[in-house]
Amino acid sequence: MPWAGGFSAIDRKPLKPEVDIMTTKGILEIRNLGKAFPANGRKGSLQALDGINLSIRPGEFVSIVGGSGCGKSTLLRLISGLDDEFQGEISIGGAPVRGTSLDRGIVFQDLRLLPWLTAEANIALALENSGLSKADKRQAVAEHLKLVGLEKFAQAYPHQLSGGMSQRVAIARGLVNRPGLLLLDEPFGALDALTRSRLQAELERIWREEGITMILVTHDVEEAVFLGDRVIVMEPGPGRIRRELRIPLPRPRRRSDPRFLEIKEDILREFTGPETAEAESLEPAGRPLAEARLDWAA
Amino acid sequence: MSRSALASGSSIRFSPRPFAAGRAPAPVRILAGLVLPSALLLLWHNASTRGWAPPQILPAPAVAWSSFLDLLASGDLRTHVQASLIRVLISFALGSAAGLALGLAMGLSRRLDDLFGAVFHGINQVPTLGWLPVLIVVVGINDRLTHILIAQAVFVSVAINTQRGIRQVPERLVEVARAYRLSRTQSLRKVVLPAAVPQIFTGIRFGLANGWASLVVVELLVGSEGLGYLMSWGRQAFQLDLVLVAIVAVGIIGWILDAGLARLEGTFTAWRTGEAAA
Amino acid sequence: MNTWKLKFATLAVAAAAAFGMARAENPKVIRFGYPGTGTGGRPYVGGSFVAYARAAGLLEQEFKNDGIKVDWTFFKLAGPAINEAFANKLLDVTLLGDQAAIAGRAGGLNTKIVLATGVRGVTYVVVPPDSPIQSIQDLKGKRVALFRGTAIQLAANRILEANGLSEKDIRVVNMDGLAAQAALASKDIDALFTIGSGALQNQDQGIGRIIYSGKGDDKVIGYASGLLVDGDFEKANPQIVQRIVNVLVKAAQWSSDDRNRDALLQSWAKSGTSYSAFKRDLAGQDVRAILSPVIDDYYRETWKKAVADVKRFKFIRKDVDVDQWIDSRYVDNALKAQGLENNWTRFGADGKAVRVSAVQEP
Repeated sequence: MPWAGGFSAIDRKPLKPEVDIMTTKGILEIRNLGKAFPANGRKGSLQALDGINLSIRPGEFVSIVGGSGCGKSTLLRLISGLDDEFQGEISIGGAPVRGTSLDRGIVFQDLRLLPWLTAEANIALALENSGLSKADKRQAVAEHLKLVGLEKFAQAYPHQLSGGMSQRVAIARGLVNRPGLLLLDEPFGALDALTRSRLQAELERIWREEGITMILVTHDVEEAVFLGDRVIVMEPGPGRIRRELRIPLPRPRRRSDPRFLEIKEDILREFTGPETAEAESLEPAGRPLAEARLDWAA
Repeated sequence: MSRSALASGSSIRFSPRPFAAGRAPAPVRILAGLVLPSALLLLWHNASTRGWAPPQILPAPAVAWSSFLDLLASGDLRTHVQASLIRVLISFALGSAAGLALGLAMGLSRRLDDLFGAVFHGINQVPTLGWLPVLIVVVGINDRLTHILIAQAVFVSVAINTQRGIRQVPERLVEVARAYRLSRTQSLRKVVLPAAVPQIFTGIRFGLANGWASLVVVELLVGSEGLGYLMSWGRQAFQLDLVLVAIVAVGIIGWILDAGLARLEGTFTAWRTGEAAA
Repeated sequence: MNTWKLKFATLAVAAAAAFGMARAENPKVIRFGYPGTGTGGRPYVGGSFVAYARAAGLLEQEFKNDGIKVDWTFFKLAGPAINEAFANKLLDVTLLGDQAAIAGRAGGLNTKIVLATGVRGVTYVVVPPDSPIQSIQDLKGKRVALFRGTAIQLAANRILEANGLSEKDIRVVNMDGLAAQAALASKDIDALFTIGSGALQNQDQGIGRIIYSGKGDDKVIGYASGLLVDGDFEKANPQIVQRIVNVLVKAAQWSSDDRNRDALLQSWAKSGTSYSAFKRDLAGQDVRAILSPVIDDYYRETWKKAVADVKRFKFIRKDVDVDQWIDSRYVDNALKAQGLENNWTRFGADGKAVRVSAVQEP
């Protein structure tokens, strides 16, 4: 299995050298952010997010955890720039976020690989407007396929790949532009437990080696604690930040560490109370991939 | 089981993995495909030999077969097939190019869609041959009539299905294009068009099938060449075997045309089966 | 029907056959066909003594006392439709032009030609009055209406051939006679080939100018028509066929009498084509010869030439034996019985008179 070797570290120079993400100028600032969706057929609107304040340092790994309808995915979309309509402000290094940017990579919950492109071409899609030469693009794609251990599957189409492999292609696509910020929207939700924990470990390794700022949205408390420097707990109706925790555990973390379990249970108690803390997950597992595909095919 | 190419093409649409796994081996499928034609042939044979219909009206299959060989040897069949094919291909090229252009425009621009959409869906409700009386008055009975009628059939079908195909591209995939800041052209080429290809091909195939069938009808009226002419001539000349040969030829060629388009569609959607990866 | 009844019926039929057809029951109806209709589809026609018999109700009178009805069908789509009706056993007797009759025979229809209804048929080419077309040669590349599968097509091909052209040199629009006249009026076609008086009518109406007439064109043989009976009908009802022929020979005798010309043309005008159009159609022709019911050598020869030409133009693919097909016994009986053997001039195969008519031309 190619995955066994783990991600190989590669030389990752920032795409745009003039942007120094390690200085305070690279800070992601979210001030008093609110988001309302027009309500179905009725007057007024549905408040999805309200009064979100958040500041994320360059190189930080922040997990956002919460139940259904807490607006965590909406928050990620606003940061990515896919959705421009909101109240308040989002800025990176002092510059307001306007539209999408190649400096902000995103890995979607439902992957969104284009079924008519090979793994290689799906990754290369992200490089269309990177300004790289053809040869450099080819090299970048090859390196990232290798990074996620899929070099042998460059020519495979998404439907020929397993769920875990597809996930790795999606991550490679999110990374190939060498963004300063990578947004991950429940990326492992549809995977089996074994694959999920492997990918979590490899994602942490990439984060450590590449020094990219990462924001992970998840409903899996253990995943949030395992990966995050900080865990932001959100609550629904309207979506707000309920609590912020710093995770002081050394990396790589061990899930059996009593302190790890303590933090996890502490967070779960926020939602469910102590007796059901075993539930671990805050909402049912993400939609199965097959369903997502049918959606596309319909 | 219907082995109509159009039907099997559309069944693929509902699943990104065609029923490859559940498919019977090729020889079995070919045999299954021959059941219905054989039954029809048997029915035909019985109808003519048992006098269900006068032999002059329904010649026996053997008679039609020998007429087919005659027409083949004399080169007449080739002349007629060629005439029909040239007519349909010219009209098809014009109609599909224009239909693709307008369908793209309507798919990409809400305003154009508002302008033309309703009219087009209205026009689409009128069977191709419904235009014939009007066109005869306006254009007259000539080759231009054929070209306009067929091109119109292809045009409307392609335009509507292209528009529909583009509109049906899932927003989640369009967002991918936005996330990577693809230009309009880039996202059209990489995301929108590939996603719309199956629907566009539905339009093209339906248009061609419809155009081919209509062509034969128009040829009953126009010209001295073509399979439709052969049918009408066969009837005028009291050689109903010619009519039967022409009917079978129309069916087979229509099927071949559709199979050709299906194959072309296959090359655009090789990702479904992963042939390009092999 | 149970088996016993069936067997009994079969036996009865066999017995009837054994005792001879004289005992066979008469048909209740004679289904009579005619190619073409009058103007606007009216059930009267012109141009032949059969048309006169129809207008005068002669056959109806003849069979009234036997309780036999005569059921006329006028086929808008002419010969090709008549062949289909014959094949489907929907017709007993019909008038029919040469090409369609030959096509039907080649296609295996069991018919007999029992009476001549016309030879030396005249074909016209009509164009719009302001058309630049002056001659057959000018038709090259033009939209020309002709009725495929009928005598008009054979005539048109002969005329084109005599002028060094073929159907391939013109743009043929296949139309029946009435549709072609409408198309000429609206100038949807550049010219039309037609037979009979319709061309003169068009000229009168100011929608057509005749650029070619078969009258006096020695290079092109005129078309023929005949009375065809269904073979099975003839076998089962020879007396009926004889009586039909008798009536029609009488009608022919009356029609060819110059003193009746006016009345004849008036009866034809019931078709909607004008008296004067018929009159000018006949003008300059040997009217007695074209209204002759006699099956002579010239008549046979005309059909033989038609078969050869139809074959040459590839309108049929099988041969037709004219001598096996034409049966002159009925008409010869009728002529003898009515003492009309010398009423019409008989022509030899070369078209020259063999035995000149005893009737004085006025």
